[in-house]
Amino acid sequence: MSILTTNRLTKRYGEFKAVTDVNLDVQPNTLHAVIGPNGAGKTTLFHCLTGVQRLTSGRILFDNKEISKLGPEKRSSLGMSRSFQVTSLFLEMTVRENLQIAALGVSSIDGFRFWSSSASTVKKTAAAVDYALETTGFENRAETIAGDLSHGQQRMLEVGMALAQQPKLILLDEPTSGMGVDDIPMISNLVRRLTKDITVLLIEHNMGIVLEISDKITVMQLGQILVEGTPDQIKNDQRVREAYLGGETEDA
Amino acid sequence: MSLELKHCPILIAIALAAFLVLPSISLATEVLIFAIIALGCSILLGYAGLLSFGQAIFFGLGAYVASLSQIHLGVNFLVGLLIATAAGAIVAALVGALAIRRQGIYFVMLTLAFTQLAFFISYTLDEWTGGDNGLLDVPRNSVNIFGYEIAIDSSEKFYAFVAISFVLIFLALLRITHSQFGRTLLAIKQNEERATALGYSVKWYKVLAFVFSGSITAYAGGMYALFLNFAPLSNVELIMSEHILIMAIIGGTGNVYGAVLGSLFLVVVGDMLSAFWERWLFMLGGILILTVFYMRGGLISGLYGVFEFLSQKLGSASTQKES
Repeated sequence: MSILTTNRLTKRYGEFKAVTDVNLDVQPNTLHAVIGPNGAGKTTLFHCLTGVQRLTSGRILFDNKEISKLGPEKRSSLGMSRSFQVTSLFLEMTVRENLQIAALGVSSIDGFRFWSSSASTVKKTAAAVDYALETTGFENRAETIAGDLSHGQQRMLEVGMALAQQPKLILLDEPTSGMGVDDIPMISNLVRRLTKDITVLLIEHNMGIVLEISDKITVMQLGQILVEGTPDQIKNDQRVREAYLGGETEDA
Repeated sequence: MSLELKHCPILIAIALAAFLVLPSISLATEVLIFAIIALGCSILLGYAGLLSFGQAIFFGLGAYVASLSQIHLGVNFLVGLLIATAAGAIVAALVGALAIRRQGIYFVMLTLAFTQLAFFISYTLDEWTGGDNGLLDVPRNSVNIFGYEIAIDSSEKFYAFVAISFVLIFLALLRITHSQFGRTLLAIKQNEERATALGYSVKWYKVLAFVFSGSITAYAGGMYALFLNFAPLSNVELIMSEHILIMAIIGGTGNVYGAVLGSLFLVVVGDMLSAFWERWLFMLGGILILTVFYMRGGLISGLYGVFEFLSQKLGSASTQKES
């Protein structure tokens, strides 16, 4: 029973085919990675899955519901949350406030409560916020202003924002982007732990991380799926070596 | 409840102080009315991050609707103000819903265009609005409750009514800004893309901010017309929108008391300076530039800065004494 499937997902910009006939099949409680060299269509695929871009044709099914035409703000309440490749936080708010806003986003009315104090409204988020704080290791820095965190910590909070929504599926857009080599294990360990409770779809540039932590890998090239398989299968696939590893071994 | 307990005495003290300290009661009345209007602007600018030149629409609308209700419907002044408020809410929802379809500079241009539109509508409908001459001789119809007649026929009574309105509206807006809705607006202002991704329908939050802003501005506009017994066309001019924005920015938009300072500053300084210096607006321009450069939080942040400085001085003085 898959949690997310795409059926011949296609996105064109004018004549340019960014993504063509992509059929994805993501199984629950797995870590599914989508990789590919620059220009392979990973980011476009991600934008289609999050609702930022409309598909040209094809369908997206999440939890057996058709979501192809829903805007980005409609998807989180169904149980689908995302992180951003470029850190996107509420920089003037504390870590806790960031997570509270995230947690309340899945409710369609709590954000509109204008007559009761916010302290009383955010009470119901306590469990979700604690879960996110604990999972991302922010327990002791909950009252720090997000803008004062280091880059690596902001990347962690970026994932925490999605976790605070207690989603069924989390879409991570290059969570290690811009991170120092020393900080990367922090994120990859976190992502690996997540599949205990939820499903992770990871868009990643860094082949090394992907081979290490994924259950299943989809390799894209020129807007299409090139190969799909376990890390071992991908590692030994000749086509992948040619398309991806050949040109970008320095990234691996 | 603690929020109201804390702020109610401060607001009452402001209303009393304005009455006792300012040289005339009409000046005090004007300060409180414009404080409400500046507050309406801060909700949009300080919380929702919307720089709107449309506030004159709601101000002028409130003035016209309240006046017309007194002249043609003959309803009492309270009902007239409530009709004005409702009209403000409805028009703000419409203007807001259309203007927020664009962002940044295009949003600003749309609000400018809507104000121009409102001005020409008011100018053209001179049978209703008096056109260029304004709507003259606006009465204040008294309220009849169980045989008791409540009239606001003296400037003291009118001030008392404005002061009560001021306290209640500020308390209501304090509640709103301290609610989750207020916090969500701040989040949207800081990062709209993330707020959308988290599930917030950003559009409706902005429209609701417009409704709050427009309704209290229209209420205050209604009071202003009843105060002057007159609703001039200049209420709906673009320059009124600018005036309101300047008040909100100079006072400071992140804090409701900034609106009081902005109004106090513009109304009182304007009144004093214009008596002997016709070109006092020149100085206002200079002060606005200084505020934007050096005091982004407005006068209210400067005031808090002074308080902090003094309390630190006093604090260190007392610790020195102890040691």
